[in-house]
Amino acid sequence: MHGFPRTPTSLALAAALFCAVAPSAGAGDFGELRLDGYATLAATRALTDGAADFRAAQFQSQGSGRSRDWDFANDSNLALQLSWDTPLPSWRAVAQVIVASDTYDDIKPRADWLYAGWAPRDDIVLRLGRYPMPSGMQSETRWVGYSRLEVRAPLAVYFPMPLTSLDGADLSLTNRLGGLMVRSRIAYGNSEVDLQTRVGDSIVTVRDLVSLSFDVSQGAWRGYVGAFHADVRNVSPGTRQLYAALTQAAASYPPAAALAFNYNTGYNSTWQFDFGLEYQDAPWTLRTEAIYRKSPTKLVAQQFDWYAIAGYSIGRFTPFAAIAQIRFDDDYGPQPIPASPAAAVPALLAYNASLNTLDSTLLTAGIRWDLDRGFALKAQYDRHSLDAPNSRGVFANTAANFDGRSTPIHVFTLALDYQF
Amino acid sequence: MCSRLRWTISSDSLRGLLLACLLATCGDVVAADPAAVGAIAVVVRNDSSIRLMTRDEVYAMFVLDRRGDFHPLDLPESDPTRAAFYMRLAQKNLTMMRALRSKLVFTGAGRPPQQLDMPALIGRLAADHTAVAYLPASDLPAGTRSVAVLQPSP
Repeated sequence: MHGFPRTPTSLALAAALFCAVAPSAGAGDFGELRLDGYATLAATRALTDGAADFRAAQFQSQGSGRSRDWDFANDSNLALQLSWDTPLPSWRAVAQVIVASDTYDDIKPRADWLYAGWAPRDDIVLRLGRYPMPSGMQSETRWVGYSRLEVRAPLAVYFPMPLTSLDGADLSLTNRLGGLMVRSRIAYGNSEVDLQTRVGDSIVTVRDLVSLSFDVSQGAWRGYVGAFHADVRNVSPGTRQLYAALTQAAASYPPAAALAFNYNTGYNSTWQFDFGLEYQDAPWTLRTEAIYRKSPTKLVAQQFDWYAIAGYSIGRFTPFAAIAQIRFDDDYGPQPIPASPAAAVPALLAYNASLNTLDSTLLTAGIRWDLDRGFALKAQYDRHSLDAPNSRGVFANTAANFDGRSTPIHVFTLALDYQF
Repeated sequence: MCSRLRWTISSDSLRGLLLACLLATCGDVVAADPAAVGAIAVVVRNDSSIRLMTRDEVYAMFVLDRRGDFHPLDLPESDPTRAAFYMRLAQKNLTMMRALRSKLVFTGAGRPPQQLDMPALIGRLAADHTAVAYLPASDLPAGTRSVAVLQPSP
């Protein structure tokens, strides 16, 4: 990702709205500006025997383990949020810029929030512009370390989503149904990012995403159900070559046609379903989330991922433990290499070499210590087990002997969260 | 014209950033036991338009930032009344409330109540008919009245 996602249309709309609001405020009152911010300074050490780098997000390409011993970039960030309650009734503008490690291992700013919001009533909010990708119960606070027990958003559910924001519009309605508070949200948008992946430097384009979610809470309970559909294209020079080679091979070896489709360069219909359940009744915090992603290609992996976490507060200390699994739900086994035709052999070898998964099981233990003045200190240990012979888990820059490693990988993280 | 633009920071922690860097690990830990706090009253000035509040309305105002035209006020975290208030209202401790407030602010959905120490809070209640605060029910300031009461667990 070079700084900001590329789709400018709705941002231009948001900017136009800002400009429309400012002059109409006249000389009397320019409303209220509010500045908020958060930051995390984290140090991560992954024991991979120098064979791979640990990543905290799928778009990252380097980290601790192979590129460096200690990593201070992948889990660290600094964000500022500017909220403007305009003098126009019901209108506000929000911008949030986050400085963090990008897909090229550069620390750069990006804008995850930039919208004009209209709330004619407390229970209706329309947002036009940029907002976080609606994927999971914590999607809106994915990067806010202070908002959760763990160092990072749970990898099982949030790692597979490399996009950080969407340009478009969303509408939220909040209703009371008996004792239930129900927030219904429908969203539409587009996004495009550069992404370093296992198949090279890709451009991922999400077109016409439509999302619907329901966030229901009552007392200590909160439940979340969401789904989105989008047309997704993921193209890199490597996948273009593979697609071309398999398509060519299909002329003399018909089974290659189906394999070629896995790396087609067009838009493919993609679904994702999200589920979440949280129970918070001091001193207990319990939370679980799961996603199922349905995709016809291997450019966007079809998968089922879940995690569960439990925390117990003792004064300002909250120790926690978690378990998580990432499971690709598709055939990632190697294809038989035919003796002939000769032209198909290199194409199928290249196809087999491309078949890597994230299949892994994560066991986590950690503690959050709430300090004064908006600080929280966390220590976390993660044990990663790779669950398939061709799995790389959440690791990148893998050496030849890393895939399907039989011994677990230990990752230690210390993080200081701050918010104001 | 610019003088009419109001700047706000959602918590007072930025102002104490430098001090916090030095003192974060040895600061004022919540020492008093919230369970020892007696009944807590949600209070307004006598001439406030609020007559009574249900528990849900108090929750909506203090936890969800559904404040309407009113201005909810928080005591400092070091005051055991605050910990007891949110424990009784939302079954959430300090850590949980911090996380919840963080979500509220960084989704652009709202902001936490303004935090004032006890003398400043009482002064604000006296001066502002839109202010809503919580205080030990046994010691309400003159000129204020209770609109809801949160009793300790039996």
